[in-house]
Amino acid sequence: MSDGTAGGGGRPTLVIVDDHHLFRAGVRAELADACAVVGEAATPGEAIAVISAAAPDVVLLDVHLPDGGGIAVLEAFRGRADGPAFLALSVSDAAEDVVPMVRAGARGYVTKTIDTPALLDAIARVRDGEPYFSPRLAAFVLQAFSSPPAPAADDELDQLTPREREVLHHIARGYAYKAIGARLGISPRTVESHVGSVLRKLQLSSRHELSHWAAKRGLVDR
Amino acid sequence: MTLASRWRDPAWRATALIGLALLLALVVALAGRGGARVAAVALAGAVVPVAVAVLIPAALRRLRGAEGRSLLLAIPVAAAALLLLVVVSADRGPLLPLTVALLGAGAGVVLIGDELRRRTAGAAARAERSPWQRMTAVERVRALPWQAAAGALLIGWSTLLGLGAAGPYLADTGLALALLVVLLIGMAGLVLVLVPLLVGAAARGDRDRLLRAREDERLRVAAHLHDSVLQTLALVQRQAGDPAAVARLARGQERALRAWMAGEAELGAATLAGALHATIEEVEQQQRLEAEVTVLGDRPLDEPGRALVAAAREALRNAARHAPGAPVVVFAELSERGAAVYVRDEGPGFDLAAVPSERRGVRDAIVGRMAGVGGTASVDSAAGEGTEVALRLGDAIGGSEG
Repeated sequence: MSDGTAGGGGRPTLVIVDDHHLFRAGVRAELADACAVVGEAATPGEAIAVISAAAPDVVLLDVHLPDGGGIAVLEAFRGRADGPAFLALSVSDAAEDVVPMVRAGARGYVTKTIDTPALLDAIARVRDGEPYFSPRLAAFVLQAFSSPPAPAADDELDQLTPREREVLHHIARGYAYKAIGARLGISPRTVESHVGSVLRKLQLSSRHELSHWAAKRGLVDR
Repeated sequence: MTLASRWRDPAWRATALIGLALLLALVVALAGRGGARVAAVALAGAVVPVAVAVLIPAALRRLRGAEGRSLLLAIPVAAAALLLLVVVSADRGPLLPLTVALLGAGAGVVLIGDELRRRTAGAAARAERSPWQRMTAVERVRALPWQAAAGALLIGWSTLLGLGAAGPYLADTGLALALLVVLLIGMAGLVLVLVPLLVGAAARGDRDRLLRAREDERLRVAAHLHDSVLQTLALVQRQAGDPAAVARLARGQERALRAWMAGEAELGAATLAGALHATIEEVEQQQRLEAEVTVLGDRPLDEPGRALVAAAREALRNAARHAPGAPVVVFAELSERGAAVYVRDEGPGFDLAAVPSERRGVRDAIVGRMAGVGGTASVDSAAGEGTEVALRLGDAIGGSEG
């Protein structure tokens, strides 16, 4: 997905949160031309301090951190209007790791093997307040919403509209927003707004499958 | 376990010391009133707390399992039965009732300690969770500490019994009050000191078992890493001069490691998802292709499934041939009812109508194969737009449009 960056101005400021020093150094070097890296952190505690002090546009947040994981950082900034945009990244690629991160407030998710242009695109998108769904995240979200909801829970937050489903399906298959718009006969902006409403539903829904992942994780961690 | 090693356990030490102090106080009190005979009887009773101090930690260790917990309940029951016997038959001497009282009090302490240990262990596990997990995790907590309540009841009962047994000896002296105070203070001290120590000792035991389990797991992971990742790293060092080979090795290893972490390695290719992963990996190794693969769901590998995998292999090879170096996305939705696999490349794409009919690769290897097992295949491409091959079987999910 690389149909250009939208809006915004200047180089985005960035904080990198990852407990692997080499990975932080690598990302910093890769993004040096396009972004200003204003801070780094290796633990949630450090991250919260660094982010509060540096007030970056975007935080690259590893899912797996000591002392509570990336979730702990997201929880600390949850509901704060002045908080940065969080982009989750992980090597894990497991739905039960990724979906809770997005549920807790991350605006997007990318794998650590992502190439630099795609990462820059993702950073620019979340900086501008848009969601960034990688194909894999779209697939996971589709799966989370796929089974029919319980009859009692027919809240509109608990299901996707056919159009949202279609958009997610295309993202999962690797189409860029522009191409999806062309295929579905809608504008890329409309595609974007569908993804935005999926993100909203994901974060607000009380669907059993979504909660279940987190609960399962809790059991596994014991 | 030797006496010396027991002595290092604070729970054992406290149990023994408090028991001895209690008895000593009793002996002093009785010696003042009844002379040497009563004092001797009381001294003989000193064996009891020592026995309790040795037996309770041992019983705790032995009866740690789930069955052991319910076995622990047998202690107060047995104590109560003994108590009834003694009360009915006792006519002289405080020794037996006092013995029973001490046993009962000990059992009560064990009950309280066990309950507390379970609750504090749960609290520790909760504290380690993230706020998100605490919010969402479902757990069963026994609402009423009935076990601790039973323990407290038992201790109170034992105290009364001990007082009742020693009472007649002391009724005519001012020592009765002193003895009552000594006993109450002793019991309170026993509960105050012993319970936290017991809890601590039991928690330490749990931690030791956890550490052992972690160590076993670490060894298992280390063995696997040695056979897989370290071997690959050795190969990478040998071929350091060939970047393409290094990248291929790294990708193959990454995929294998992921499959192992996800627990798919054991499944092998007995399922469609396993066969798809294996095939994609195979094409990646042969054709220097890099695919981002997401497979949702799974289904047993049957004949149509094999055809689907073969068609997917052909689609991947086409992508590698016509869009070298371009990212490839593979997305598969599998279920018992059907299967859909999408292979999309961001290559130059082509105009389908312009493809000469003698280009049989797509027609036979993909479309023909799928049709042969009752499935469908469609190729979607336009110049500059990349290419997508969609393969469908049965009641494919999400196949809302072509």
